[in-house]
Amino acid sequence: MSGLLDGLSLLAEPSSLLMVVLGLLIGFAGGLFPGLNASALAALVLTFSLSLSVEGALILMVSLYAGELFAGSVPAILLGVAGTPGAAVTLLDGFPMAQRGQARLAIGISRMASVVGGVVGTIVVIVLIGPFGDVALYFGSREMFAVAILGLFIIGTVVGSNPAKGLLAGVVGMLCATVGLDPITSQPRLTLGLIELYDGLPLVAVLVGVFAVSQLLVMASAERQVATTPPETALPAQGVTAQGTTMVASRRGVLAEVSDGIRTTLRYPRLLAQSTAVGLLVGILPGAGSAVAGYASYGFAKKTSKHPETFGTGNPEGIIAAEAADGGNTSGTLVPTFALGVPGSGTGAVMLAALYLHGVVPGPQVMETHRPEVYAVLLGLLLASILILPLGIALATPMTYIVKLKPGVVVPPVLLLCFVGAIALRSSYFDVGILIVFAFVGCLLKFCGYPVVPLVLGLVLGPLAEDNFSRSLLLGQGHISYFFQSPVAIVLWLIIAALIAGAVRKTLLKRRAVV
Amino acid sequence: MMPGEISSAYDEPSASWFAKATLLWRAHAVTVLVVVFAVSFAVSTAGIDGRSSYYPRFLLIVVFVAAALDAVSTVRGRAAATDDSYVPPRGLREVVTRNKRTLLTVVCLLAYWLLIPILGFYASSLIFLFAAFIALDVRIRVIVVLAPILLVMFYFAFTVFLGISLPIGIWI
Repeated sequence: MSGLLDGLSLLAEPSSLLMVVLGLLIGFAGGLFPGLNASALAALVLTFSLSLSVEGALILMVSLYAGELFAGSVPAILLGVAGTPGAAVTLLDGFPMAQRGQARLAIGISRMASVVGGVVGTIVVIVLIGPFGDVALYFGSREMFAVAILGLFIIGTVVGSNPAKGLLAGVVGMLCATVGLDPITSQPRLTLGLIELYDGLPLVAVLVGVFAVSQLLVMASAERQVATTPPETALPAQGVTAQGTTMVASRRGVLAEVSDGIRTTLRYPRLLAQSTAVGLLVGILPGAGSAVAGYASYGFAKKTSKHPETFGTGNPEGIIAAEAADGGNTSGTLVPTFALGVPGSGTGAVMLAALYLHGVVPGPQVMETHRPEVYAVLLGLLLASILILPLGIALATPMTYIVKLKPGVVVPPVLLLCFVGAIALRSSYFDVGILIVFAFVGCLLKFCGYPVVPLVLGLVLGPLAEDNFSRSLLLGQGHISYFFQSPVAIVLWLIIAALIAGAVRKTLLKRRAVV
Repeated sequence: MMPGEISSAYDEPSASWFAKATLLWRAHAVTVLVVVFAVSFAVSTAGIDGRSSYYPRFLLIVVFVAAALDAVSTVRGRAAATDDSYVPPRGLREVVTRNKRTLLTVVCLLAYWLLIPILGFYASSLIFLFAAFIALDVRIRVIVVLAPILLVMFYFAFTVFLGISLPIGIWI
C-alpha cells in the first residue's frame, strides 16, 4: 500500500503530470498518422526521455501508447484507414457506421469504450501486479531463463500469421544481442573488428532504425494517407465531406456525440467487462499486441452477441469489443514488462530499453527495488486513460487536420528527429550508421513478410536469457539437468514444448491446406 | 493456381525471370541471411571453451531449428509472405517506378549521413530537408517556409533546451 501512495506522490509532481499530457498529445498525433505506431514513437522519444527521471520517461511512453491506440480509431472510423493494427478491428464496424451517417456516434462509442477498458484494466493491473511481482521473486535464474525462452516462443508464434517467421525474427534478435564481448571470457563476438561494437549494439539506434526509420521509408512511397474516400451520400449529414477529412465539429455537436457515445457504450456493461478482460489477458502474454487482443475480443463478442449477423455492418458492439480490448491490452502488457522483465509488446521492449538506459536492470527485482516508480507509471496510465475523454474532445478538430497531412510533409522532419535521437545518446556518428543498417533490416523483414516486433523483443530478451543461462550453469555446476530440477521450470519447459509442437503442426496444416 | 497463391506465381511459365527472382528472393532471402549470420557467429565463438561455449551453442541450435522450420514452411507451403496480394515487379524499371520516393529518400538519407561530419548537423540538415521534401513532391513554397522553421525549432529544442551536442563539421 505504501508503494502505491509513494507512486501517487511521484505522479503528483508537475513534471510527471506534464509527461502524461505530452505523451497523450504525441500518441494522438502518431495514431492519426497510419504507419507511425506506438513502438516507433516510443523509440523516437527514448533518447530525449533520458533527461527525465525513470518514472517520467516511462509515464511518457505509457501515455503515448494509450493516446496512440485511441487516436488510431479516428481515421479507421472516418476514412476506413487503420492508423494502428488494433484500429483495423474498430474499422470493421466503425467505418460502416460512418457510411451510414453515424461517424460521430461511432467515435463517441470508441472513445468511451477505450476509456472504460483503459481505466478498468489499469485498476486490475494495479491490484494484481504487487502479488504477481512477489510470486515472480521466487523465480530463480533457471526459471527466468525459461521465461525468456518462453517469451521468445510466444512472441514468435503469436505475432504474425506464420509462427516460423516470427520465431526466426525473434532468434535473430537474440543473435544480435550477442554482439560485443562475451560476458565471461571477454572474447569479441560478431564485432567485425569494430571497437564501437565491443559494448554491443547501441539499443536506441537499433530500435529507432527498425521501428521508426524503416516505417518512414515505407511511408515515403505511400500516396496521401487518405487512400479511400467514403461515399458522398452518407457522410455530409455528420459534417464529414466527401474527402472524409474535414469533420469540423461544433461544440454542441461534440458534446452531443460524447453523451450519445457514453449512453450507447454503457448500455453494454457485460460486453465492456468481457472485452476488457480479453484485452488484459492477451496483453499479459508477451508480444501479443493490440491487434491480437482486438480480434480475439471481436470474435468472442460476435459469438456471445444476440445479433452476430450484424457484426461488420456497423454494430456498436463491434466497436466496443475492439476498443475496450485495446484499453485493457495496454495495461496488460505492463504486467510481464515490470513483473518479469519480459516485454509485453513492442512498446514494452522500448520501455525495458529505457529502464536499462536509466541504470535499472529489468526483471522481477524491479518490483522490489522500484515499486513506487512502477505504481507511478501504472497510475500515470490510469490518468492518461481518463484524460483521453476531455483531451480527445478538445482536440477533435485539430485531429482531423493531422489526418489530412501528406506523408511527404511528415517523413523528412521525423527522419531528422531519428538522426538526432541516434546521435544524441553517445554523441556517436557510428550509431547513425547502425540506425541506417537496421532501417534496411526492418525494410527487408517487412518486404519478406516477417514481423519486426519479435526481432526487437529478442534483442531485449537476449541479455536476460544469457545472464540467467550462465548463472544457472554456475549454480548447477555445469549440469544441464539443473534447468529441469524445479516444478516451475518443468512447467515452463512443457509450455515451450507445446508451443513448438503447435508451430510445427500449424506449418504442416498450412501445407495440407495449400495442397 | 488458387486465388491468394500469388507467392507461387513463379511456377507459371508466363512469369518473367525478374518476377520469379523477386519472389524467390522474397521467399528465401531472410533465411539465407540468417544462416550466414549464424555461421559468422559460430566462427567468432569457435575459440570459446568450457561452460562459456554452452550459450552460443544453445543459441545456434535454436537459430538453425528456426531457420529449418521457416525454410520448410516456405518451400512446402509456398508461404513466401503473409501478404498474399503482393504482385512481383517484371523488371528493374518497375521496381524504381513503384518505390521512386523511397529510393530517393534513401539516397538523401545516405548523402545526409556522409555530409554531417563535413558540413555539421544544421547545414547538412537544411540540405537534407530541401532534398527530401523535393523527392517527396512537396511544393517549393511549402519547403521554403517549412525547412527553416523546422531547423530553428530543432535548434531551440535540442541545442538550447536539451543541451544536446550535435556534430559541428570540419568546414563549418
